[in-house]
Amino acid sequence: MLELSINIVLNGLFYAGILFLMSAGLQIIFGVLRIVNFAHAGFYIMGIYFTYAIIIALPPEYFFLIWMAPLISAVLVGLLGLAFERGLLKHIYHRDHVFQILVTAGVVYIIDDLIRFKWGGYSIGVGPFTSATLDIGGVVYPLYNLLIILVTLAVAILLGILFRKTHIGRIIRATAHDEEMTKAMGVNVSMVKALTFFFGSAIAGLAGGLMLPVTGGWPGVGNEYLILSFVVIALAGLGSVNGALIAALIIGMVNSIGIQFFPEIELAIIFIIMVVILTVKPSGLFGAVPRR
Amino acid sequence: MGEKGLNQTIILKTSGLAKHFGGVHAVDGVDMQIFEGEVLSIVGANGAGKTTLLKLISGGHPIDRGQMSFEGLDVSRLGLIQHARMGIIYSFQIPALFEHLSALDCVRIALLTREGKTVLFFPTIEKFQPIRSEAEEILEMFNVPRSSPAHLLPHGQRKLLDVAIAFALKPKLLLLDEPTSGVSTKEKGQVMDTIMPIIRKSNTTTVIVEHDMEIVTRYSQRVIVMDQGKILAQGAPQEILNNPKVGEVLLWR
Amino acid sequence: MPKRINFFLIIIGLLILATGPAYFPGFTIYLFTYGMIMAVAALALNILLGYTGLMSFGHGMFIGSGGYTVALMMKYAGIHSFEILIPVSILISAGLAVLVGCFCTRQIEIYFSMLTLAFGELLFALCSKFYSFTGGTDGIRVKMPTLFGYIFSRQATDFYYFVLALFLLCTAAIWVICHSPFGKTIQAVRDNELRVGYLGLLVMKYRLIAFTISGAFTGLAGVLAVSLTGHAVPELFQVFTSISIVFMVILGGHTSFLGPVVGAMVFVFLQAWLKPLLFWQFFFGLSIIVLVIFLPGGVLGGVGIWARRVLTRRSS
Repeated sequence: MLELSINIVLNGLFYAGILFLMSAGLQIIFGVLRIVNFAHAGFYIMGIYFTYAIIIALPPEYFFLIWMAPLISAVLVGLLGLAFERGLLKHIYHRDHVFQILVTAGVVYIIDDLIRFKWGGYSIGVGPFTSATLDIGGVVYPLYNLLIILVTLAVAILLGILFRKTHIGRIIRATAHDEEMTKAMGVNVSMVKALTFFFGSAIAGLAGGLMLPVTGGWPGVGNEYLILSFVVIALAGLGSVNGALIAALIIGMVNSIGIQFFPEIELAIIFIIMVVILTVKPSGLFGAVPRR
Repeated sequence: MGEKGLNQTIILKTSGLAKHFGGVHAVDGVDMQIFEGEVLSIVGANGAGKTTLLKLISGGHPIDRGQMSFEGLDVSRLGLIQHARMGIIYSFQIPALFEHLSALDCVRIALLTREGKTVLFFPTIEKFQPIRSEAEEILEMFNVPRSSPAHLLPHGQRKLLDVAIAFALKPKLLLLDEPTSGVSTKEKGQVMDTIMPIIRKSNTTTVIVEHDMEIVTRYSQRVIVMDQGKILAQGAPQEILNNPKVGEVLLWR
Repeated sequence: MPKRINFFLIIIGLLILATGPAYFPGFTIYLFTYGMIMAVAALALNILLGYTGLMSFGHGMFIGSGGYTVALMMKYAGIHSFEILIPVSILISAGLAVLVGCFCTRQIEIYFSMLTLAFGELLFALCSKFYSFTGGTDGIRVKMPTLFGYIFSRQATDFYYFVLALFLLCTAAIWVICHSPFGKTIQAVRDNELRVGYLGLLVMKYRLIAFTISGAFTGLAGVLAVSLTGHAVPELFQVFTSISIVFMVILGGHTSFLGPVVGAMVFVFLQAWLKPLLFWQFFFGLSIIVLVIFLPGGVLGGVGIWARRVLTRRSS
């Protein structure tokens, strides 16, 4: 019984970690640009594939650099996101938000076929960076998964420091809160938006890179995680990164318990929880994004 | 200013009304009454709390403290939609129109709401009488062309249309938030000359938030002066004009 | 779009549809049939998008609910007739719309789009997982239902005319709805929901009614789609189906009543032409982006502007 619980908790933390990484990017982007970035799915997948490409390109002597692959991939994905924002999104900021969302959705299909073009439609994979396991209270748990949990924790802390203590973080928060005012104070809001998109996409890319050894990659990978990340940000309240952390934990745990005991309807259970919470507090747990 | 027998019936009454935003007390303990059939103006410097007070009356902002009763019923806890359904209708300072619809449609929507015919699938809206003819009449009274899409109308007509929409609901209490703001000084008179006769003829109790004392004097019977969220003075327009305290606050002296 | 041209084009369109089977090959007729079915779904979506201002990324769930009601009733209740399947599917789709709508229409618009997508995917997941009941990812094979005893042959054109009749009926019904007092009210909600509140109306109520009507008609489209293809699959619930319908509406033009019909027809034919291509998703995504950025009024919007320009040039 204890072993089962430990397993469930660890898996829950693991799911929560990945969900948080996916959702944090969405939240940051929504906070500043006020759009729900459907293209996030594509950036996650690009993170997986970039990491894969980096790893197979590594000559054997440098294999220890494998740990850097997700990070490098994250930066690359960030740059991709930046290009998307500057090249495409910037030109339709004046349009109705739902059309901006539609454009981001279109990008996913483009990315999907680009992947098929470069890497084919078969799944790709690498083995875990380490097959080491850790014994926790009798449960033999993969070290890699634990490391993922730690990484997401680190990212959460870093984000917290970024937004609270650094100058650039405060500017981002100010822009998210009131774009007009921030612009009036002389801040280059356009650059802030670009930077935000870079960050948000990079985090999604990082999530993908970390997950490559766990799930492998194929066009359309991670679909269920992405739907859940929508649930997470709806639950958290659009724009709230803290909320995303809490919501990710909730969803992650429920997911873990659900998969263990009610595998067929665990997704439905999560949705029911979301419906209940949002019925009581429609703007989400930490919601109340100031309306434009 | 027309002669209108002032009915002494109180239609709206507030006591200790208060609303704050963060640390700012926009409305800070207001006791007032509105008499049925009167035209009341609320004036004050920017930030004095006029629009907030009007919004509180409309139900657009929830009340933080105090009481408000309308036609004898306590409405302090009621929301925007209930206020509107009771007949308290607010007209916006920045016109809130149905931008892609024609002016005729905008008024029609108000009429449909009044008649409770919004969830109706027959007949076609274009042929729907008497809604259509009443809408046309109202637009004629307000001098707004009927077929232009709202977003193409010049500012003065947008303001008139906003009032027309509110008026079409046959409000028991009409709240006009700066009906001449953004309108050129020349046009201000025209706008008010269009609106006020309609209001007087229908005996609609009206509250106007205004900056322009000339308009206030010409068109209203009673004035309330607000300063920092409180009522500074109230009375007939001439009294207010002669009140030195008011003059200081409104920067005449 | 100038009224005379509009009328003229509609007459031509109707003539083509009415006499098509006489000179078009079988596959073209199949595409027209599928196009009309999708046109119903697109018109239904536009009630929500063009008239109420809500973009649903989950309308596939109603195609799925309509389709699977047919499949499941055939499989487990042995019911094979349209006269029962259609009303029941419409009711179930409407019920689903009320359920999902009650929740989604409370939220602000951005949430709405996200949540409708999420619910669509939820139903897709549920449908795929309950293998024993729904056949899982294999789906359920569906025989063509009968109509008051009449047996359709998929090869011949009788089903085409049945769909044509329903398509005309639905188009007329949706036209009436969009041009009724309710139709104007939802447009008011679209244009200024704040003002609607200040009139004393509950915005959510109108969104929910629009969503339900939209879902019901889309469910009907689902019934016909599954009858035509003979196969009910979970992918119907998925986001790609939903986005396709949105794309049809935007392609044809969401600002005109018949835009969705044009968009659906064009899309169905384009898809048939491009699907065999290896990287059609790329073009799909690209067209969405190009359409939104350069041709926001869709085909009919663009044609309307062109027509007006041509006509005014001629008169001056």
